[in-house]
Amino acid sequence: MNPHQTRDKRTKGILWFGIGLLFLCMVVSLSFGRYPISIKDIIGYFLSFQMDIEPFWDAQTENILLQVRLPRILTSVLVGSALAASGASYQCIFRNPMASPDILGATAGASFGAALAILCNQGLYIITLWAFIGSLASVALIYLTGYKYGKGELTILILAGIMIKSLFSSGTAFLKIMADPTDQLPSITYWMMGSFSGISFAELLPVFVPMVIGLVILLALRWKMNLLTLDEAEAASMGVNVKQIRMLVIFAATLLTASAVSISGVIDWVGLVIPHIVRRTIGNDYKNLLPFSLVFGGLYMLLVDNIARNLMATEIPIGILTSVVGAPFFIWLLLGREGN
Amino acid sequence: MLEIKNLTFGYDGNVVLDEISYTANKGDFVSVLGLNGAGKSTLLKCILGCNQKYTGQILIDGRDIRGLSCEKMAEYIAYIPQNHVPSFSYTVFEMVLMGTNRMVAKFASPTKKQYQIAEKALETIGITHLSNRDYQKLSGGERQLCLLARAIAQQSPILLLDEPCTGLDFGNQMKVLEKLKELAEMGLIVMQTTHNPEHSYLFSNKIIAISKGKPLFVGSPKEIITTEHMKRLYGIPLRVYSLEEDRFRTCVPEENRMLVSV
Repeated sequence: MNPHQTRDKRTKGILWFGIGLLFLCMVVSLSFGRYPISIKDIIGYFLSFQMDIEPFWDAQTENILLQVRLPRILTSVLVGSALAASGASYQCIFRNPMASPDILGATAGASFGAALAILCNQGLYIITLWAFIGSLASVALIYLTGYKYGKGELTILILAGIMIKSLFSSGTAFLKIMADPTDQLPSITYWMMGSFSGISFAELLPVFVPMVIGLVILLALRWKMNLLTLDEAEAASMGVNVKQIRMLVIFAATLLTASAVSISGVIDWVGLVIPHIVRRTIGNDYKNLLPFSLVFGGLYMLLVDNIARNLMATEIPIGILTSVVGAPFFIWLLLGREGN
Repeated sequence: MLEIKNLTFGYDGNVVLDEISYTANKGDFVSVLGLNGAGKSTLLKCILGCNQKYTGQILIDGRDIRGLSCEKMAEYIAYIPQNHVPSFSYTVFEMVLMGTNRMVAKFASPTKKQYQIAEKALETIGITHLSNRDYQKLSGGERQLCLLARAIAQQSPILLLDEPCTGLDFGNQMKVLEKLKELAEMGLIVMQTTHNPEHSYLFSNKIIAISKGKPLFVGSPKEIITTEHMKRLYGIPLRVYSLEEDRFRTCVPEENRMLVSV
């Protein structure tokens, strides 16, 4: 057997293990909370969709499961997957392992767009649209400054990211001054901190569709993304339409970032940390990197959200928790690079 | 068959390539010689389709390749750029598999068939044992062999290489050139740019020497690698010596102090 085949088999095995683990954690997470629900009730309730089972659980359990916990858990998994996948994709576009939606300022751009839409009293669909426009603008700016003129150098990329971030956050700060302090301001502020609390299926729906579109595009292009990380002439000589595929990847990744930001606010670091852990353990081949980032991004966000809603009596905004984990990790990464 | 007819290319008013005409046939191993900046790499880029604004024609099997999509071009030409390291580290197998890209639909990943092509390419070059090794951590010679395997996996009839021996030790230079010669004997058209006339004499069967964008001499190694021609090409006093019943020819500068003054 060729040596790469054993490696491929092992990789596939780990992926299925990860998917299994994700589902298990989702079911277990349903039971956690202020109002504990037993696993038996959860399984019984879901089986009753398919089978004839006499309910041995009460109506309140049913209500909490369907209206509160299930949408929240689905959202946290989707957002984690979306951010990790878009981080991995930006890394390919910028040919740089340090790129991610937050470092590039894409989340800051999305926040600005979304805050603008909230200020104009728009619904979630319009908020998502404006978040998309905002993050697309920031990625375009980064691409021009950091990549076209800075030749993709890490320092220039990070500096350009800082610049764009501060540009958009001062824009957002200005919007906050303009906002109605009784109604709009708290909603912008709380939303900026990032949270999954109180999410219903009605709120999930407007971002679900763009997320699925973004994920499908990226998954379909995942192997081709390897070629985008090579030299441009080299990739073209192998028959890749570099411009076209790059545009598609930017579109999809930005759609994912914007959707994630519009439903859950700013959640930093996931887009950097998760793809990195996958790169270190599974390898850089996007054929594996992307699915693994999806699964483990979702799993990570689910775990962090469980901590956010169960650790203390009051809920901790999840953005705070991910930064506590992510910022030290980033420093560790930078130090590791120096060491090489 | 690769035909270049009256190829002229320039930018910002500078003529880089001036009226180059050349024909290479199946099985040819062509070496392009020339000074730095003579237009060797530009010639490769024109054939590759990266430089589209040339006048004249480039034909492959009688078909004008101007304006062809890169997907289509990849069917005709594989290219190995000058030694460089990609930003992400892939395994050798992953690198070679990328060569099959032209057989993979736009929104798809390689299937069993492409995996077999990549495995076969590794075998042809004799580096199956490197499959799981990290490309970034390979030696220069192993990297070049890996890129060669990738070009084979592309299964295109023409192979262009930009100074494939730069930065390699002597042994690896011979290994890479030996492989290139084998590939030409298998029926490919192989075209490399090189700064080493001795290599071109030993391995290739055709030589173009370019000077200031113009073809200075065109012919077989025996015709081109001579004292007279090399002197004119490189502009220093030198002598070409024949060794081992003319199996090998070597360029030796005539007076050492001339090297300093040039």
